[in-house]
Amino acid sequence: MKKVLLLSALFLLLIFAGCKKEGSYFPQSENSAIVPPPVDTTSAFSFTKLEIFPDVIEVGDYADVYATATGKNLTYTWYIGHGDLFGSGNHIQVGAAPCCVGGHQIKCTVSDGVHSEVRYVWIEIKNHD
Amino acid sequence: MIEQWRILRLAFFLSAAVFFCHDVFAQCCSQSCSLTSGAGAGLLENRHLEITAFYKHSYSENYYSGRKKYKFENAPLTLDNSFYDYGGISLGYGFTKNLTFEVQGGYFGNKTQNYENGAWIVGNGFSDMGATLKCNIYRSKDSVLSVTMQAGGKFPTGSYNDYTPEGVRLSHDVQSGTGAYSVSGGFLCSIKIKKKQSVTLSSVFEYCGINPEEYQSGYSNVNLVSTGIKLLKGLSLIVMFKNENYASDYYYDLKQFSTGYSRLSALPGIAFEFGNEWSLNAMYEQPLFRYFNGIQFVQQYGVTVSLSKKLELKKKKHVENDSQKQG
Repeated sequence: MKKVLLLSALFLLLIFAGCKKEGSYFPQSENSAIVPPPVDTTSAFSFTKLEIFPDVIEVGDYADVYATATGKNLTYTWYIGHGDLFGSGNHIQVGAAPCCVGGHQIKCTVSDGVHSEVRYVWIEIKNHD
Repeated sequence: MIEQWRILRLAFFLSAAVFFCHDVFAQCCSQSCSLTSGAGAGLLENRHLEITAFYKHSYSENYYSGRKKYKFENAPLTLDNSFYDYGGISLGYGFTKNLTFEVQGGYFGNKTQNYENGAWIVGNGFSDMGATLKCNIYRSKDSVLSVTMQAGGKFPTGSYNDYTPEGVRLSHDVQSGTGAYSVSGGFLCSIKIKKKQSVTLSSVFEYCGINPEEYQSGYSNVNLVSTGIKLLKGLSLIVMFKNENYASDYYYDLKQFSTGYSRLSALPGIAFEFGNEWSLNAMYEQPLFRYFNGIQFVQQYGVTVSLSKKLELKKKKHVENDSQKQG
């Protein structure tokens, strides 16, 4: 039986050997009108702003979300209950998939390892015309 | 007697293949990949263990609305293609000739979504686990008809709240688990239509619970009809048709417009039996008819390969007993 289980495990290992690792990517537009806010690393920890542009989008479109915070060694954690998020750091994109028509809250947690603060923005996804 | 045994084996393979064709992407459904063969429709022989390793690849590249393809105009972030690679192991054990228990679990090597603008999202991880109990309720004396009832459930062992290494939450579609329990029930019926040919019918209903994030996948009903044609010694052609009906999902009690569908697919495949109770199987899934609520990105094709081995447990004891009797 051991031989069969080992063979089964090998069968699966071979299949998944070349698989891509977990993650997301969003190509940055060269013509982007909005520049992500620079991170001030000299001031004390503070999460000052969370903004979204635009806050109403149609299916197939996307919005940019920016977090403005100050402090050293900041980490950003992004959450949406139902939807697609791309990117990382203080600037992400939220995509409007057909599955997710309606209103959604986007949560951003910024931490410097000692302090942590949470802010929310709201996005409305409409059906494609 | 040997001929009858061979027919039964083919029927058993067909009835088990029924489960291995359920859509893995729509996770809230029984996805047993067992290729049980033995004592009745979908059942293993008494004290027999079957180990099956399987792999499934599914590929999607079109949006559908209703019955027709849907093309977005002026939409910068639409999907170009999506696919997943899923592998797992299924263990089945025959407690008696009328009662078989199966457990299945697996791993998504990747669940990938590629967008038209070059963006992508990839998720991976262990899937939810499933368990099924099958009980034969009728078997005709001439082995023409066999009916098996089944009941099962899924357990949220997979991740439903995974993040990228950079701290961005992955979308629902690329999470490896659902986060919800589900229950299923159905029947499986094997009918011998010719001396060397059987037809297997099955119908399974599944109800999914609500996950901790208030998402509930729609209930489903999957029906299958299949038959096998023997080509050469140990080699059979499998012809299967699958009808799937998925109700809409709910999120915070709100019906999700672009979820739920009906689909009819053809699943041709081959089964090759070799060595001592080894079996290698391959199946291709091609949708024939489909109807989708709202706009959905839909499966183009699926390929499944499985390798299974059947073991008789406590064989030595039987042999010892037999030799004692002879002595």
